[in-house]
Amino acid sequence: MTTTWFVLARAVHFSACLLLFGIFAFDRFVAVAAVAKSAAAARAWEGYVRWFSLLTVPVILASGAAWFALVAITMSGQALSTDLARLVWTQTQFGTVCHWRLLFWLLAAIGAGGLAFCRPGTARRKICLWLELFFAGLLLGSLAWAGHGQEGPGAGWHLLADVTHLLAAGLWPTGLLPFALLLLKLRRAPEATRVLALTALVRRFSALSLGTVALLAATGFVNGWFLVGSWANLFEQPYGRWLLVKISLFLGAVALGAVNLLRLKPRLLVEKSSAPGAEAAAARLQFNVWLELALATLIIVVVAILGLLPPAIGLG
Amino acid sequence: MKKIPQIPPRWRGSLLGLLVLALPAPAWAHAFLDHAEPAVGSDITQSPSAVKLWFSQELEGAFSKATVSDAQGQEVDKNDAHLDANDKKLMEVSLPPLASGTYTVDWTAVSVDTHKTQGSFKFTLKLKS
Repeated sequence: MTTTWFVLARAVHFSACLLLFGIFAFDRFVAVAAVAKSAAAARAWEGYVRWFSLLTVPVILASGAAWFALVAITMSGQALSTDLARLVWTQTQFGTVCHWRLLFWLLAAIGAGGLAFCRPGTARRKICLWLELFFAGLLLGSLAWAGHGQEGPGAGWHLLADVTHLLAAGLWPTGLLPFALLLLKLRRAPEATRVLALTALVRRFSALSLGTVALLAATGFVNGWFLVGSWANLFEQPYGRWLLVKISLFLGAVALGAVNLLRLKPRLLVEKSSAPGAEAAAARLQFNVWLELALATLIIVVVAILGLLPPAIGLG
Repeated sequence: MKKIPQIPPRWRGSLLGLLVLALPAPAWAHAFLDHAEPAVGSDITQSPSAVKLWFSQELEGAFSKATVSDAQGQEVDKNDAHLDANDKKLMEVSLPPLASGTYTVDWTAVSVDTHKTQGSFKFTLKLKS
């Protein structure tokens, strides 16, 4: 039962941290091109940023507190108490990491609240958005230290790969959610320029996804070097088998991505002057993106499970 | 002139992504017993002053412990299990002079990654008469 709560707490915490970073990264790197062409989408996007940041900030705190409590219980084998919590907070590496992550959370929370006082389109708001992206990046990247216990000459590279891997995941697949929401909004926008905004959105997100997946592959290779060790471990160890589940889910997302790029994106770009044709392609793209998002959510759950298992290396 | 077919960017990215899934998500490590003094299952002829346990990961001293019991299950150590000040992978527990017999070492290790592992092993003391 504790394991179930552990997986749930970690999955919710990881998802919320990814989403907080992902929303602001998407805002800075993707949405800016699309909302410039659609006033309706711009208004909706500001609302998404505000609501997502105000929603994820308390969820991060609550799930982080639950995770801390569960760690204290499993480390000690005792029921949670004030003394136990104080001991973990002050005497363990995990507690030290939590100090820093709480500070990063506080900065992100203040930043999210401060955005409400920044008028849209102003330089002040732009600065606030970049600052919030930075704070959210600190909160997400610091997850690499929450359980990191690797030592030896390669430990620094492993840590760097972990941090980069987390931030890349905040761009893709996390970016699929704001992409899906903005896509839906643009499809319903009244302006004639919405198709142009749609194509700008798809182009930008495609480019971002390509770079991000390459980064995920490179950093994933480094992690694999440290944690799996052999092809045999991939099939014979629990860690390896859950990894194969993740591979299967990813292959599903790859297949959907291939359909989006090979069949839908060309139709969207070619038919941008023909509203009904573009609308049909956008509708199909919307459906596929929701499916990709569902698969990405399952991947995050598998990641939460993988984090509780001993690495396969050395066990075979 | 026939255009050479190009792999669409996202498809290239997805192919690269296959590499991602040949590779695992970041995971935490567990602390396993690497070696011990007295060695696991060993026969010794001198009473050790302490049992030393080396682990594969650094440990959290507040939650890691080790006990030594005799063949009747009575704890015989000095109840001072602690981590070495210079090596957080080394846990030791002091012992008084022991009589000949088989002893069991029970250990609980909580790594800095917060994961707990447990185990035990025996060693036999045969004092020279």
